[in-house]
Amino acid sequence: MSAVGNHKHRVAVAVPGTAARKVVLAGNPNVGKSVFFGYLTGIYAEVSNYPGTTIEITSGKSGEDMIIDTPGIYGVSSFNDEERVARDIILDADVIVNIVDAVHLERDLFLTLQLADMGIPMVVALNFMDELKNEGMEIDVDLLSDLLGVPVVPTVATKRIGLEGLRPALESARPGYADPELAKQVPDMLRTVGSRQEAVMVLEGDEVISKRHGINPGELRESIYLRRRARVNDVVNHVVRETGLGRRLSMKMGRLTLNPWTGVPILLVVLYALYELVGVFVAQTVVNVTEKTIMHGYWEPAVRSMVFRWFPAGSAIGQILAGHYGILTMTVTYLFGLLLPLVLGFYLVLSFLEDSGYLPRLAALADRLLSSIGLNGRAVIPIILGFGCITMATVTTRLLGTEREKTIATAILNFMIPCWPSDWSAGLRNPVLQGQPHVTWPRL
Amino acid sequence: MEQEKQVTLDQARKGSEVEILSVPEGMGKAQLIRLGICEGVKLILHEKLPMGPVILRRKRQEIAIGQVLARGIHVRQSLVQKDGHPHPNSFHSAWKGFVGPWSRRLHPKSSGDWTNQADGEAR
Repeated sequence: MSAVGNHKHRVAVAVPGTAARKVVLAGNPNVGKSVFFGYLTGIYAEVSNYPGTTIEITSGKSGEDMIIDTPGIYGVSSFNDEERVARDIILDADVIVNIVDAVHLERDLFLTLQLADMGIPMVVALNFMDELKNEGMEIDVDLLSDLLGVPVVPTVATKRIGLEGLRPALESARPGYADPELAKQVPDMLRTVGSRQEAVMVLEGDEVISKRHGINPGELRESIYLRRRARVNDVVNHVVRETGLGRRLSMKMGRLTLNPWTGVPILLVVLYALYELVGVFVAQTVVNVTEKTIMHGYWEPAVRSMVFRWFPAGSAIGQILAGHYGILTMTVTYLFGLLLPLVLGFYLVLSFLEDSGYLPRLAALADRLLSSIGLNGRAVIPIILGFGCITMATVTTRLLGTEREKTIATAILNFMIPCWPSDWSAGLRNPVLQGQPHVTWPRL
Repeated sequence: MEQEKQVTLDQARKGSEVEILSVPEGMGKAQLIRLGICEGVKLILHEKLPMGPVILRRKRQEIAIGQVLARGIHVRQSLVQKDGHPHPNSFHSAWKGFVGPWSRRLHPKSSGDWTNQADGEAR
């Protein structure tokens, strides 16, 4: 690990070689940052957990540059784990690629202008350009670039359209136009803080950054945010033209899924389909084949016959490698026979729910019920999946935003909704249950 | 005729246009400003889930506000509908919506003052 700048309290990202430039991908959730990351870095990517959290950081090389993907955020601050992680990475960035959803410009540009205020060289990738026509919109990309003061590259990342313009644009990345009022206050703060980015954070009242420098946080957040919001509205009014030819079916579908009279039946159907597809088909039928037929039937006997040729079956090494709980037997069986199908099945369904836009509507409908037990609406997914398989349901608790919610959901899954793997393993995890009569719950 | 009254967001009617008058102080306010919800902004109350979140719509963005926060947000509500018809939440207003166009055909000078602010905003 190499320290960056003089700010030793900040966690730095390892950069191989002093000449490497740190290019950080930043943007709101679900704007396509990962697609850009895959394009810039190719296949190989290093995934690591940010210290003290379960939030993953993905980094990879692109020529001489280090590309770092960040969690989706609506602004740079310390409001939640994702923002805290993204904040530190952005503060250390040499160049930012800010990915913006062209259809939701008025939402996404808030982060763009905040990055401009921080003075970090930036390129804006305007993604989902193909959706504009469907939504009845047009955007003047050149004018947007003039108003922001940074290069703007229109893209359709999933179809690889426009991405070739990204690398040349990176060479002409520059800081965007900052808020003039904020710019007047930065020089004074710079004497104490040392970097423009952190000066802006302190002025905005970020407690964590302020504490690092031993000074009180500023009290200007609201006025700074309101001016920034006004600038966003001004930019959007100038660059966006409504053609009025948008697709209305998606709006009607959206309304149907939210209206309680139609939304609740739709929710019940979706949850039932989720349970049947993932909780029954994948977690039981598919896993029966992968775990029992393939791994227990072919893999483990093959491994045992190979290992026991070199080490006796009764020896310690033989047991460690290929015994009942062996590294090459049970570990591999559970990884590829049990967990891999579960994780693939879950992520497939989750991608569908997210990409269709149904997930936030599901969360809104279920929010009231689950907030009474300290969870938000998204927790309905792991709870429903738990009726099929707790292992997978526990994996899906990563959907939840805070550690508290994950703990509550995991506790509910473990103590209220057992399934056959946990009936077996509960005895290992919870000594209280050892020797207890076997308890089964009726499956739905 | 456009009617306006000041209520908290959780009391506002579905389908009405609301103008934000005040938002509770704190971290929530900063996050709302980020999403475009601040004093003076006009949005459509798109949906209200029973005892659940309030869904606001501004152009193409839909934002769910939890009930607790909604109780702290004060708004000025106007009974405006996108299509110019009266709010459907009451039988009387629904009846007026049915009779209104026919009444205007018979008596062109008595057409109502229904505004179309939501549609205008989309323009």
